[in-house]
Amino acid sequence: MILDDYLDRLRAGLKRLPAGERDAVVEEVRHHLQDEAADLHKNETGLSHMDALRRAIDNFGPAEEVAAGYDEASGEVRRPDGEVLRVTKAVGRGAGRAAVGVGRGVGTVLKWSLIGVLALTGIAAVVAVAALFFAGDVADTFQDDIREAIPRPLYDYERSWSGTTEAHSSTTTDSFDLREGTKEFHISFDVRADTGCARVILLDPGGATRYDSDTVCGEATAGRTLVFSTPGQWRIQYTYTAFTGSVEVGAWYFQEA
Amino acid sequence: MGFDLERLERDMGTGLMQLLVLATVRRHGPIHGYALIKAMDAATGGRGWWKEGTVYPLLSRLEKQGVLRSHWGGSGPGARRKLYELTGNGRRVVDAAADRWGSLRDAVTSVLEEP
Repeated sequence: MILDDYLDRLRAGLKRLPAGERDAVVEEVRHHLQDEAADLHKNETGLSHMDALRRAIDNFGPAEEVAAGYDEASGEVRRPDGEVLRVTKAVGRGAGRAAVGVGRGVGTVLKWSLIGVLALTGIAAVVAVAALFFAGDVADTFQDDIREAIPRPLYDYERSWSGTTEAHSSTTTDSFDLREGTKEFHISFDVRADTGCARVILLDPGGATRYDSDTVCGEATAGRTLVFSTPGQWRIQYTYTAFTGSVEVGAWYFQEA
Repeated sequence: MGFDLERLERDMGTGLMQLLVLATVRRHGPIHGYALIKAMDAATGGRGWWKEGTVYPLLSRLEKQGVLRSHWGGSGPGARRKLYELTGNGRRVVDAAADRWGSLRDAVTSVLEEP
């Protein structure tokens, strides 16, 4: 009963989520509380099932606070009076575009700008400690480290196909731009073939081949991480022949202080 | 206005929590939330500062940001669990952030230990 009461309050606090997502959250939390209660009951002599469940719920936190955490996960901040402010996504989108330059698709830019905000938040939290205790040059040094520490996305490609009915065949070319003044960028390639073949070729702004995975076929892998610095449009050619497996290509750069 | 030590601790914890979660998923994934929390407790020697209920919204946010992916796994009645693992982007982010965190940690430590 106390578990159902808790989950009912959680569900009520999640009403802004789509129904399917809300149900998934409640199910996930139910499993957690049941698992923890079972462990507590097993490991603590004399602790009843009911007391174990109460302890698990107490450890987890008030349902209303947990639900508020999902509002933040969706880019909303709930004020104590209940008003919801939508802030993070719009700010992140603008900051991401300023940092990244030309990308491919709003979805990719938004995703990487949120990752950048995530990394910035984590590292900036530590810098806040130093800035509070020390002034001047020391804090400036840490801020330079922070700027250099954040990987800024340039390009993101991730595809996979599994099962013989999904075997994929195509040849496509994608591209990204490296701005003038960027010192260098890193690019990583990861090709994992289960069946069929795949080939990935990287061409620099002059059209020269800078990386060629060669044809990767059936239960084989290929991967490299490389560093380049030529500004302009870089192109990546993907060739698939009855391919199942996965291909991931990601490029990023670190901004100089 | 006095110094808000609780807020400082909260800000520090929030930022580092994300790195800790991603690093733990990288080591143990695919992994469900309860096992993840237990793994983090074990890795930190029980010195964790988080409330368990803050981990699941964080997992949701990381999934929406493309560094984690999830699927429902397990078999048999009552065994279904939501399992998390890093995406390719997630692996790159964790590697880059962990490397830079090491440098930052050493820098802060050296200043704090100055006579």
